[in-house]
Amino acid sequence: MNRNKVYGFTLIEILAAIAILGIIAINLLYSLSEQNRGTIDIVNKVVSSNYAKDVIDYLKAIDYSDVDSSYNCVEVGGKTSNMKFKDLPPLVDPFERSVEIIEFKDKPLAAGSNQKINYKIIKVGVKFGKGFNSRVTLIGTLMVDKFTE
Amino acid sequence: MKKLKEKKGLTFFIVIAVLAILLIAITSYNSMLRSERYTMYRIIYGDDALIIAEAGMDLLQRIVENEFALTGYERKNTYFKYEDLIKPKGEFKTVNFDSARLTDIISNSEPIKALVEIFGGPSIARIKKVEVVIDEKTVKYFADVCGSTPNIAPNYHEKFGIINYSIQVEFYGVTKLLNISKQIKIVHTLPKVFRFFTLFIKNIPKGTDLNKILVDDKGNPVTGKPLILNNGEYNSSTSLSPLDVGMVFLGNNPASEPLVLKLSHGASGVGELFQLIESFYKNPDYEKDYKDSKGFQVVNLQYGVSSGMMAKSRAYGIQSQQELLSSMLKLYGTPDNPTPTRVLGNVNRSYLRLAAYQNSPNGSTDVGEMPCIPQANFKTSGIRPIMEKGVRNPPEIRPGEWIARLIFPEAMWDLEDQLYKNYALYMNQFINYEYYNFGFRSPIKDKNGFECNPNRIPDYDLKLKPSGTNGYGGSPAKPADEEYRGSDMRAITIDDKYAVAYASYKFAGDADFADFKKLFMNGTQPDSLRLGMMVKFAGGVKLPKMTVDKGGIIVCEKGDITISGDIEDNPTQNQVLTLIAMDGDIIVDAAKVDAILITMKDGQKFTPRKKLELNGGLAVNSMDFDRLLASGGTINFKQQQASSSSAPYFYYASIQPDVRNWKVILKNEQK
Repeated sequence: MNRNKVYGFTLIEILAAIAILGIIAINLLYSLSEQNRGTIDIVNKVVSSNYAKDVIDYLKAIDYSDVDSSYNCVEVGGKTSNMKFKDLPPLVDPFERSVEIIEFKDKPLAAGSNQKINYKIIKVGVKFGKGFNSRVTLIGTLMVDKFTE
Repeated sequence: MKKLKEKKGLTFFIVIAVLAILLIAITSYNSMLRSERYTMYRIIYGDDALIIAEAGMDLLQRIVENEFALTGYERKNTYFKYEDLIKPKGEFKTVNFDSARLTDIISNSEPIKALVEIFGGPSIARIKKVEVVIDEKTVKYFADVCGSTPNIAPNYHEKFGIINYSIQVEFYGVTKLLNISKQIKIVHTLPKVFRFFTLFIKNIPKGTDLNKILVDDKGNPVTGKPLILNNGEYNSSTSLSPLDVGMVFLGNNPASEPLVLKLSHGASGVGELFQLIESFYKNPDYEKDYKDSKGFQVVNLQYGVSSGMMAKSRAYGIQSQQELLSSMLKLYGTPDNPTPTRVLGNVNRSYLRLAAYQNSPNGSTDVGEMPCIPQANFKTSGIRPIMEKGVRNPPEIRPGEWIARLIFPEAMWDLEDQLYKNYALYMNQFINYEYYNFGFRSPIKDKNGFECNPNRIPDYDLKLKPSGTNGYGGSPAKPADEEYRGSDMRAITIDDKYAVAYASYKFAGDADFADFKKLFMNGTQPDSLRLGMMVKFAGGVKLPKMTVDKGGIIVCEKGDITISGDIEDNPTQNQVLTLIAMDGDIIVDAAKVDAILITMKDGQKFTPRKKLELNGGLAVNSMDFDRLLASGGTINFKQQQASSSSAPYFYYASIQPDVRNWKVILKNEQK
């Protein structure tokens, strides 16, 4: 009697423990998996951000008048590249970079302002991941020319 | 039984404990990953905030620099008061730009709004605060640091310091502050001592006969083509001080051999006035030859006008609104181009001035007691020379009528009384409005009735110089060349202490002129020069045709400045361009130059290649008069260049080029 009580309890205990462990483990593993994905995501984001900043730094080093829409392009990592950015670190798969330069001439500095200015906006987007899971890092900067008032 | 129960419970708790530890470990790991990810996001957000801040910084600098680049009356003091920048040493305080306005203009500017949209809109990213400050602790004065140019009083308005820009950007709650400091220079665009000069010639070549370029009774040149000097019209209807008109300095070497300038046969409408710095007028020959004469030698010609109510006297010397009364000394000029020239220099003068010492009919009334009679409108045929250097007989002291007959046309000789009255009127112009032209003052006598050398009278300075007062209700002001502090103007040099340190941009030479154009001639009008600061060329430079929309200084360290095309002022801008060749010549191959030209290096001459119309001034070490006579021309003083040291309109603030190296190119290391 005494012995039966001792062993039966232990089995239940183990089963309960396994059940609890299982439930927790599943959640933890899921959580770990999510964290892992998040980490991969942030790493990709950092990498894509760097890819975007490379372009911004590169273009900012060029004279204002030389930065034009000829730099507009879409590069696919490991497949296509723009020769104008050949000095930049190469884009690898699965990253995809798009560059767009938008020029504004004689535009008011602000609403109602008499001052007019020439400027260019450099817009760089870097996409990573495939299909539904793809993410885009979008950054930009300004190149300011002069007031034309 | 008891023991077994205890064991069962223990197993359970051990399992629970293990699970708990596992849970804590995994949760910690999880939390660590989350925290790491959060940190990474903060870094990315911070980087993004920095990108926006850098873009904002570029725009901010452009806005501030654009404000600095505004000149003269364009300035509206939108973000700071230009006057605050220009305050001299001792008065200058930290300049805080209007932070609220700057923050507003940057935040609401179209470029920044468009940029913020790229980053997700204003709910995610925003410019929090923009500040620009020039801390007085960082400011130094050129005069202290560079050393002063000999014989030129330092200008303590000119300074350099650090301008600090800061911009705060918030991105997803992460705030980044970007600071940039740059050097700022605040300088006048004119070498101060030359502001007042129409023509400054340090050394007239020995043997040069300036009289060759005199004109005759009708204003026609005696020989060659005339060089017309126009010191700027003194407009008696404005409140401009007479000191705003230009001057002529004719130095010579050796100083002991003064230039001899004959009196002209002055024509109506032509007149000049001239002044000599006290120590310049020394005529030992005269003192020796005419020791016993009375009232002849002009012993002191310290010149000035009242700094009190008379400082802006409407009438001064020769009144331009009326017919000019006479010509005291004609250097150059034609009736159509009157030249109220003031001459500084050691010229030997032998002319009518001496006659003014005794001016009453009986020769007893002092000039200082001349009746003050309202001025009238006279015409005169001018004054003929009555003595030249080398004439041995001293001129006689003449009564006023005798002098009046020389001055006034015969038609006015009818009545003796009237003639005297007219003469009194004529003299009053000088007595009333040039009362510190001591050539006309009564001789100072000692207790024995002998004339004294005023320079030896102990309280002479006190009585007659700026700190004193006079019988006409005003105090004499400092001489026109108040910024010049020496006695020999030939000592004036433009040295690298003055010019080079001020330069904001430096170019190697003419080969870099394309870069110069890119920076300063890049407007819609290709000829438009928009300088607004001082730039330096290390080598010679050739200046093409240009229109001056913003003035400034172009210095050439070595080599010549060649003006190959007309330099014309934009009449709506009233700017002043100064060209300085420090070690070379200025070669003018243009018909019109609106600029101040300075070449002060020993041995350098100004070499015009054709007839020149120069609006501004010319300061040269020497001049080839034969060449000048062959070409002829006009030198017109530009009134606005004589603006005072504290006038903000001719000060420019320039910010030094960006010290950040934007030219770094990322290299592909894998290649």
